Amino acid sequence: MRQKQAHTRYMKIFAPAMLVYVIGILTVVYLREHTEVARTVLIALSLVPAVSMIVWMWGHMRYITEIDEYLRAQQVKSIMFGLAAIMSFATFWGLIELLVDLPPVPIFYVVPGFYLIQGLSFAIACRLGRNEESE
Amino acid sequence: MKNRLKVLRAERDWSQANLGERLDVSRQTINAIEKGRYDPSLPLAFKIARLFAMPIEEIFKDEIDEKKK
Repeated sequence: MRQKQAHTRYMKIFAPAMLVYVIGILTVVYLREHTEVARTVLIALSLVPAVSMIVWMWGHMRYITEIDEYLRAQQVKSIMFGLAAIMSFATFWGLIELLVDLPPVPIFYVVPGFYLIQGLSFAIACRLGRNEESE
Repeated sequence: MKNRLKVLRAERDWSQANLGERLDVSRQTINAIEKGRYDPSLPLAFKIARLFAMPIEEIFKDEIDEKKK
């Protein structure tokens, strides 16, 4: 079925891209803290998770164009929800950091934060639909 | 927008998943249309009408038109 094929295709992009993203970030953080690797090398390595993010988003965009219109609408809603939540948090935390002595949150946490909220809101929307069906 | 999709589906003894397969959409989409939570696009509405061999207006009812009557 079309939806399942789209999901499988998406997971084939999502899983390796996420893995590269996580490994890339952990590698750069580890090398910066525990080794004497040149800064230019670290800057070049920082491009790895950034590029994987583009691949990941491209896979998500393709997934959205391949699923049916209702699921697409649900995806768009959950993306807006994820963006609203993460951007409002980033704005609030950014300002609070200026006003109070708080530890700065690395900006790359925005990506997993966004995907966590987006994925959760999409799952909740699907679950609500399933509950209605069983009524 | 109200619709008779659930009745038409039941008359043919099709499940939501079955109807979804025939229309190349997900079961969730059929469920959302039946519950009135989602109004299908014009191409999907035509596809549904073709499947049931009925005019669109016999499947989907505009609630504003219904109130006027």
